[in-house]
Amino acid sequence: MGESHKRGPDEDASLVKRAQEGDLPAFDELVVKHTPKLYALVYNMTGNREDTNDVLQDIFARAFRNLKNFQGKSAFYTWIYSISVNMTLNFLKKRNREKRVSLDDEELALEQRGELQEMNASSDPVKETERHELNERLSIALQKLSDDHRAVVTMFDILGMPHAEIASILGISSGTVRSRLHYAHRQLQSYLEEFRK
Amino acid sequence: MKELSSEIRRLLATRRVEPGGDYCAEFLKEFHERQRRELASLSAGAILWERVVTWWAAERRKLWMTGGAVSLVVILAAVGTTAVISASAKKKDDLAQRPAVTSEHDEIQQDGFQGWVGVEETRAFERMGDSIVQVGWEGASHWTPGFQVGDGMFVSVRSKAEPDQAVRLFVAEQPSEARIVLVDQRSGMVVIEAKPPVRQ
Repeated sequence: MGESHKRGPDEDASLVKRAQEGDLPAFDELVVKHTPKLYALVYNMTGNREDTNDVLQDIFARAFRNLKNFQGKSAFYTWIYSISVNMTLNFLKKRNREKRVSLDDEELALEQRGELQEMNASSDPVKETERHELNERLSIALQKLSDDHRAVVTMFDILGMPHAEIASILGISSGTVRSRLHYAHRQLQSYLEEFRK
Repeated sequence: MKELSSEIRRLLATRRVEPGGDYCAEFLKEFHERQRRELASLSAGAILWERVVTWWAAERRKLWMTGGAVSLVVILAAVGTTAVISASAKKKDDLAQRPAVTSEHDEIQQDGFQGWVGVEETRAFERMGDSIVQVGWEGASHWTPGFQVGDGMFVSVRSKAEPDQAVRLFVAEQPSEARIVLVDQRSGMVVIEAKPPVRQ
């Protein structure tokens, strides 16, 4: 846990400066570089592939419009993540949709297959089935969390971001991050234990 | 105290799915298309700006001003979050009581908006801020925001197809930052945004 993100702040600073001076391909490089991880962030918060794509487009459109205001006081990475979390949370608030397992979660299961197969390498079919069932229930449990709690679980448990980084992105203290995570973990564990009964 | 089991932690970690294949290339292509659309709308505004500036250069010679320099600055930029005052608050009867005398206006047909920007000599106005006023004109259904450029002389922008295409006035915290913004209510597109002149 707490895997550090491989990022090159020097590389981003150079690209940002060029983009601010009107170098559009430089901004494209920033898009290509950050899209994969931002995709994971937004997807796990929205649970929907189509919404993820739409929100990501909005995120980079806003980043492009506001790039001139970015002064480099934080890393570009922190700035774009902050925009991403805020816009996704706003999107979720507006979205008038019942939180349930969608077809997209089946797609997620397919994408996770490689990872899950590794986990199941030495397990028997019964345990493999139980693990897949647990994974599906985890999807439901995640959607039951509030948007804010799902955000911190996504960043910490799924994306492996350290507390300090999450705090910086959300504009809250590390203590608050820990507190939210603790509550979210308790909720998840409770939901999953109910399923096991 | 319930903590996450190691199994659940590992399952959560497997959810770090990043898009593969051609996703990034397709995403970037879609982003470029969106940028082109946004730039196209800005370009249309730039054309409008040129027309307004040309019109204003000609009209200035006709204006009677009390003194001091007057300038019209048209800013085609995104509007920030400021208070919005609708232009349609006044009743038609009020205007009938105090008809305005209008001068010629330059017609604008821009991306679905049809209307006029022009200078009016009028007795029908109400001051709303430092320079911002609501201006009435004969035969109109509602008042429109404008700003004063001389004694009894005002610049305003108005739409032919009211109330669908209404003029909105943005009043910022700083009076010097006030703007007159014309917004197409259907598309939400800013057609023209004008800054009142500094009164001398």
